[in-house]
Amino acid sequence: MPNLMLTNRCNFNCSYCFGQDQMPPAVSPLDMTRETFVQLIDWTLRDSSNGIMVHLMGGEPTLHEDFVWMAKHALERKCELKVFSNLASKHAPEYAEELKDAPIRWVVNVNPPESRTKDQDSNLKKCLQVLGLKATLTFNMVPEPVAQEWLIDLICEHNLARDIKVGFVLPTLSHKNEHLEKKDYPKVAHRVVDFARRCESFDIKLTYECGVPWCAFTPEQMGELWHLNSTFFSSCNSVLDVTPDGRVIYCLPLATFRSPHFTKFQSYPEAKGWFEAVLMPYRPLGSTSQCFKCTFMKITESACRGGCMARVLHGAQNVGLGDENEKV
Amino acid sequence: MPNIFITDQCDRGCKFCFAKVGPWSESYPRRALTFAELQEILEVKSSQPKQVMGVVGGEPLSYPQLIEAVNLMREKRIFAKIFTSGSCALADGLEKLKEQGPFNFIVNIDSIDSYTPERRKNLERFLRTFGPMVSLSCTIVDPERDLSFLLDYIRDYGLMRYIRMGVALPIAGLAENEYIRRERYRDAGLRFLELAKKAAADNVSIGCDCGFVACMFEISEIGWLMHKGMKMQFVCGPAMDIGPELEVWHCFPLSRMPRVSLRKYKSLEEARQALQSMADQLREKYGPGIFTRCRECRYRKRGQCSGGCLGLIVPEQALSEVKPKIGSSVSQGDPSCPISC
Repeated sequence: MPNLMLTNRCNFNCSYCFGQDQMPPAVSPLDMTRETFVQLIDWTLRDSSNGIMVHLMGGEPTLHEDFVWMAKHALERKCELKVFSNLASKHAPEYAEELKDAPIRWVVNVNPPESRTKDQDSNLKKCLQVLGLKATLTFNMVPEPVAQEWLIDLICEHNLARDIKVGFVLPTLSHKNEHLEKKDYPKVAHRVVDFARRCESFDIKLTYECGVPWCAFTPEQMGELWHLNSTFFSSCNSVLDVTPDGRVIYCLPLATFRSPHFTKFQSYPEAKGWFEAVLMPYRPLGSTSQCFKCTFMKITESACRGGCMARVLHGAQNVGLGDENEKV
Repeated sequence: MPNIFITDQCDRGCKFCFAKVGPWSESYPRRALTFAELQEILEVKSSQPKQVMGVVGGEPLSYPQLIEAVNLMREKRIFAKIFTSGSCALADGLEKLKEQGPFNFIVNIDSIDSYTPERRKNLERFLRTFGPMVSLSCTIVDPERDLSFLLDYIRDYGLMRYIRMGVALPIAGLAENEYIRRERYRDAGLRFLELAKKAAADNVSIGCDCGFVACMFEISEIGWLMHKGMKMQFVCGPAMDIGPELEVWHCFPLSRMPRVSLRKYKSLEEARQALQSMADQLREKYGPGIFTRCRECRYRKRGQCSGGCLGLIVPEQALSEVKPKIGSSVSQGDPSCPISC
């Protein structure tokens, strides 16, 4: 179940974007070809023992002129489809209309309203109106406090799925993007709990993106989040991404870590196994000096892992970055 | 995760055993699976994603073709979790299983002084042989009883650092086994909490099996337990035990409820829905939960807690009154029932 990056172009320029090492201007603009896409669907279906979910993402996937064709092709091949989009591009409303009855889940990344132009705002709302319950909002917590009530308004006005996926903005391996530092976690955790309280009265629950260390929350906050039906869970066990030119990366924050071409692996599970083996030696390090002696990390090897691996590897020495031609 | 009910034979005789009655009747006589039936089950399973299956009994180690069964599961890329007492005599050649992974044993265990000398010897041999492939399971029968002995086993034999904790559950409508009465649930929760505190200090995680309810704990306790890496869940769903003739029953507390046949339903998911639909009907009529307060409970309404085991509240005669349904009206339950985790 890979994330297929249809294009590395995006219609936003978010300061926190953890994909920016893989996007212009860091690299040239690039769209996935139909041929590569078809090959990748074949590759995904070669071993479907873990299901046949395919995620379409970007950049902004609706900027790709073949977006609808690709979505339909994946559906024809019986893939279960999820699209990660901001739905604010020029053609997004037309695509949403065309695909509204298809069995697709839409995960919509949204920033505060003031970050959208009038047209972008209008496009987003047209899409949400069409997609309704098929759309789930996702929102990134940045270091500075920002208003969040507008998320509740969007859900209620457009009858969207009643959950919000919350991300703590992650660093890229290069740490060039705006991201949370460890010192930011307590205040952001406080804001999350506060937001969960407000969401609960609208029967909205929070779920969480990867890479958040469990010690960001206190036991009391954990208990309250459970009480509010916004139980905290975050891990680092990424669905692999495939770039427009067919290179496999562990996740966007680790885009500059290792990136063999997908044709070097027989199947998706083989690629996933390879990446996990490569990362395994770094897992116990954690992202801070406290992680080494953390009981929780030792108990739940599959859960916390000390937060985002981009933070772990940034602090590690002599990390092998590999190259395009590396043997796997 | 569905379970293959591989054999009805067991020589342990636990007073709390909820499998002792089972779904057996004149029209469904008790027996072990034939190897052909096992192959048929694995054919259905291997067409599904998430290749994990429990192997339960009875005592699976007493199944004469266990090694062949595990090999077959491996060929089909199905990860086997074998539930055992670990204290029966090991059949010749069973040690070979050690080289035939990947799979793991879940050993339902008691304190060492509760075993006869012979069983103690068997258990020690088993744990020494399979140590790192073993995780422990323990059922709280008496909330007064200290459970620290579990951590000693993990230390002494280098076992996996996870313990699956259950509460002793009744067989619906029957008084055949020992189980924890509702008024002792809070005490059982406190016992779980006490063990968790010691386990956390030993870098061991413990988790809730079926039948736990949220109100066994204070909210602050749930927060603390989660923060320490304990796996807290209070949701019930079909365990899906698959027995002879590929008949599937919901779980042992509800083993007298109608079964569904894997030969009739197209997939395990359809069979799961059919079983869930019958549990839904019982919960609606006799529930929703084991306490009257469950009716108004926010956690139950939001699906965070199912309200406990139906075995505690459903009379025996009601079990035959329900009919299986499939479709969108069936509640989700918990598709991966923790009984087998």
